[in-house]
Amino acid sequence: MKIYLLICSVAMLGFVNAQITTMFVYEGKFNSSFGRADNFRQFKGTLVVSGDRSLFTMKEIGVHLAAVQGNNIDLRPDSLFTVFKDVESNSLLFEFSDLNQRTHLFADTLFPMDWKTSEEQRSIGGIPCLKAVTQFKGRGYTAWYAPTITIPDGPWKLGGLPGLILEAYDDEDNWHMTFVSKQEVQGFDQDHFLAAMKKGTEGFPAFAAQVKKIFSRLEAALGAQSSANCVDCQTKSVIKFHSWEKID
Amino acid sequence: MKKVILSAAMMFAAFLTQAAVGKQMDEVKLKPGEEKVSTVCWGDEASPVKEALCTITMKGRIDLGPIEAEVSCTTSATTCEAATVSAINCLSAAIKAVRTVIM
Repeated sequence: MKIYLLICSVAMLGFVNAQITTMFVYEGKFNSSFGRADNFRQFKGTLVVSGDRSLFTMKEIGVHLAAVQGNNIDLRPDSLFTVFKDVESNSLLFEFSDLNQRTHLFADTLFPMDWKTSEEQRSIGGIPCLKAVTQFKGRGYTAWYAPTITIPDGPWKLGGLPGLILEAYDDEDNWHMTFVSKQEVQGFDQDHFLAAMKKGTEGFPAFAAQVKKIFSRLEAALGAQSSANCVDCQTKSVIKFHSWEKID
Repeated sequence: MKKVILSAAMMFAAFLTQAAVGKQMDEVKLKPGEEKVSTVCWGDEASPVKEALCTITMKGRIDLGPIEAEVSCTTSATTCEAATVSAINCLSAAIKAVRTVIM
């Protein structure tokens, strides 16, 4: 009987440990003009890891400056770069907010990055890290990962290294996330993502198609406009579209 | 919650900061990894000005986070005042057009 109780206790302890959820907090910036202009905003990123699953998102710190700028339409969702990963099922879902600010989930390949690791070292928050670089969807990224934290994850879609990515940034430093702290939390709501996975989610090509559809709508709307208002003027109007991830 | 911010009152301030006097319109140079899905010219291309003395460019942005649309209106005229008014009207029309799409 004692042995039975002991086994049950150990099993329950293991179950409790399996429920431990850790939130890694990052801070950084994102330039929504991707280098064509300085539209940097400060963001707080959180990577909540529970077993093989994780959820990354980043929220702007402070006031949305776009609210006081003229000639700009700010349709950014409250959370950017939101990504749910499930290593066990080799799945990755990411959020996209459309022109009407409806949120859509799309699937993408989990950790397709071909990382080139090096022996270069530095310490982030007192944790020794190694450097790795990769190209992903049209941009070069640098990651500093901690081999002592054996979680092959990181901010946004990045991951697949032998350690948690504690700092990541693109080659032009338009997006930059740096680990600042961690804490244990009560878990996170996975139902929304698990239901989407179960239902079946369209992949990156569908996302690209939706983005192009949005651009087409904008083009059509602008094309219907006329700015004839000055007989002595010559006006040229151009609309250009930019995407953080390269879409084919 | 929709966060559609249109500030007509700030247009003049935007003009002060964004208007580029005396410069021809430059193509926006894309950085590596950026996707220029398409570029279209729209709106009015009125009769050419034979002796344009002033060129004004005004830009607006539609920011969706990981994707962005940039609208620019470049107007040349014999006077900066005329060019400015035309560029402002052009961009205002553009922003209104976008607004109809998202509303």
